[in-house]
Amino acid sequence: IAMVELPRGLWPTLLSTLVQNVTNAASTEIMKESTLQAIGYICQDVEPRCMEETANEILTAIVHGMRRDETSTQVKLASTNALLNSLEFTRANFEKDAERHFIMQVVCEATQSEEVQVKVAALQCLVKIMSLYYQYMEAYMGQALFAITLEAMKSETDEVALQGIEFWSNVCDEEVDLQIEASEASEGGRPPEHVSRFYAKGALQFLVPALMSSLTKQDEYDDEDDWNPCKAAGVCLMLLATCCEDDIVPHVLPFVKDNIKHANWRHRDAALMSFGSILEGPDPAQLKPLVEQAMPMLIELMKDGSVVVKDTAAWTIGRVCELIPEAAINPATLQPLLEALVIGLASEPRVASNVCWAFTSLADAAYEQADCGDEEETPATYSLSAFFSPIVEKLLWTTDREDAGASNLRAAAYEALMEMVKNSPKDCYDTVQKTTVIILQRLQQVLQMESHIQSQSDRVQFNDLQSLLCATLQSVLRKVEPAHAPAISDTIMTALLQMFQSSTQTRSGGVQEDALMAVATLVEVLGDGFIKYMDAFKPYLLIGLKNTAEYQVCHAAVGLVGDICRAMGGRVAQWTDEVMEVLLSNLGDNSVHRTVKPQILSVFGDIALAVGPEFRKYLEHVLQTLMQASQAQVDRSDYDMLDYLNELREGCLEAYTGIIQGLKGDGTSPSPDLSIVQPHVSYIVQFITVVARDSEHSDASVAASAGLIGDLCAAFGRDIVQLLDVEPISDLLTAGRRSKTTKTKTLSTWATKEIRKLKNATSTAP
Amino acid sequence: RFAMYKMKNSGSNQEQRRQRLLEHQKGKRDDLINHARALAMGDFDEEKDE
Repeated sequence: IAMVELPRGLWPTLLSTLVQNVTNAASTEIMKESTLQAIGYICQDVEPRCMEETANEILTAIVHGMRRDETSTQVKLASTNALLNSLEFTRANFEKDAERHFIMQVVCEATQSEEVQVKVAALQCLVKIMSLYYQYMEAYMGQALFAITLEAMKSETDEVALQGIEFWSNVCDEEVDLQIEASEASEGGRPPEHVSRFYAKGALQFLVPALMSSLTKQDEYDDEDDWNPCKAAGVCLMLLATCCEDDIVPHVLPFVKDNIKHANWRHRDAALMSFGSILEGPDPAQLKPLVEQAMPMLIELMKDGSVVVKDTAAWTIGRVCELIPEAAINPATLQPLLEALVIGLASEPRVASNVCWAFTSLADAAYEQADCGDEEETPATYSLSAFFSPIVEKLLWTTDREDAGASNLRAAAYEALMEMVKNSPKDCYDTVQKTTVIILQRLQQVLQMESHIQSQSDRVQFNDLQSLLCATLQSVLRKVEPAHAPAISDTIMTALLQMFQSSTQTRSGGVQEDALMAVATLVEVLGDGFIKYMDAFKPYLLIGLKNTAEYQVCHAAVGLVGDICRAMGGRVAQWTDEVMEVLLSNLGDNSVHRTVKPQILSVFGDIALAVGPEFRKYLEHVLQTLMQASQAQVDRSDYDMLDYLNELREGCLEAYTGIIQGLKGDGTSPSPDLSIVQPHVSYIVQFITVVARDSEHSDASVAASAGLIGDLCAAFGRDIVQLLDVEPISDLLTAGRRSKTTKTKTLSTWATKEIRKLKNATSTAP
Repeated sequence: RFAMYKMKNSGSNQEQRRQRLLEHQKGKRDDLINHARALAMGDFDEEKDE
């Protein structure tokens, strides 16, 4: 009831009544407890702004229930939980020294409670206070918080230990943010608003041993969904490494060295886990020799008798491949490593899943390293070439394992396969071709499986598999040489059409989306050769465009329209009437998800560019729509909405560009069709001015504006120069020329030059 | 925190595929309109103009 009434300013006496119930000496224990619970729920659910006014009173009641001489554990627990929920709107109290001291004293005392639940709730308060009020914690850190949380970390009670560890994970999060703030401030030549006190760095020598000890307390039969101090310690160590960088290495290495060959698997696993956790943060150049030295041991541990150890070994190798790949891809290590990984693919699903991830990173790193003069060009060969075929073969085998449903193995194996194919050099093309054939066979097989579906979980697996196959198809298609594409495109399109048909019936949006993305890739590879499939495909394209309920499907379909336009040019005109009708109707429909709308506007530009003067018939309607879209306003305090506004404007600018370029034609002199847009030019320029004047315009919208300014010059020549030669536009172009993005810079420079050319021509004209 | 345990930065889930395709499409659109502007990105000589 409070959630309904308080935001509307109703029930003004509620909170004071509740406070009274708690502070009244005559109240019974159960009255106090249930009242504090009610306060706790209200604090948790009602918007903070409704609570700020009564924050003082509420805090008084809560602290009253938490004080040392409160004899009831239940009352203490209810008030500590209520405090946890009220912390967000008691900033004003935390800003006052005396009040803050008092709150901190009460919370710290509660952490010493004999009752585990009270202790845990009080520690939770400390965790949250640290995130919310880091800047005020200096006075308490050395005196109290450090000792309290370190002791909690060492507790035998899991819930207590978890909060102790979480406290320091939170300190790391805060201090990483503060370091980012500091470096941004120094880039901008100003002092940062808040500064880090480097608590994590200062406490390393005490934290690391406590974490190591937790790391050796693994559950033997671990459930992947369980959370315990051992796992929390692994995460905390990773965060400490990110936060403290090089400083953490000497604290961790001795433990790794002493335990990596320990007789007890728990110690071997903890050693691996700590080594893997510090691979991100410290300087890679400092880590590289250490990792190189460790590689033979990591490879050896892939054969360990303990599944847990094998799993952590595979994860650590995956981290090496991702973060310090040079240590994995060197002549001394590569072959034994790959052999161990390929064997690992046959291991337990959780181990194999980590191995897949290692292959994903390895493929990317090896391709990056491949020697190739031109960045755009596919390299002739790379370090994995000799092993490429057996790796791909084993990955394909892994995707088909009976138990591939466990530990996300199937998806991990397909993802590894996609990365291997995507990052393959020329001398692996044979294997890519063979893989394409296999993927096509699997697509056909999977479609026949549909009749065997019996349960919801069968359906989920069936859909996931179709999505993965479509995604893999995209990665092989991107590698297929254009000359080879027509030979396989019939089979691909037949399978995809069948997939559209069945996924439309079963409303499997995820599958449709991946299938549309696969079509987009096929369109790109075939170019105007795709035209022969258009009649068969068009119904599904329209279904996708109309699927506004599953907006991601709609989004993919809209993007695909753009691809089809670019591939087919003017020949697309025979289908655009129906497409334009759906697009315009989606734009005007308030129930259509907003992320689709900027994309639709951009695609208007794609269509206009493709069909050229044929676009005349849509022009009036489209220009009207653009005028509306370009006047959209949003809540500027919401960053997501500001991003959206920028995207929407970028879409409008791209639409205008497509229309103007399309009508202008590519002849030497602009086509007379342009005269239809002429009356709108002053509005377009006005819109660019609005974008220019907006202090929160995005870099991309500057680029799109600059492009459009140049296009207007090229299309309308001298007639337009006066409109464009105004301060907001010249300021926009000046800012654009100083952008860090090459595209924005180049377009702004080009537009400036175009304006100048016209001005010079005007001034020298007779 | 749970998701951070033995975290793997995967590059190919549906959300990331969607983002990549979107960027790819944006790139293609830029290429086409800049081609019409007879403007090869990067080859532009900015020095002379400044």
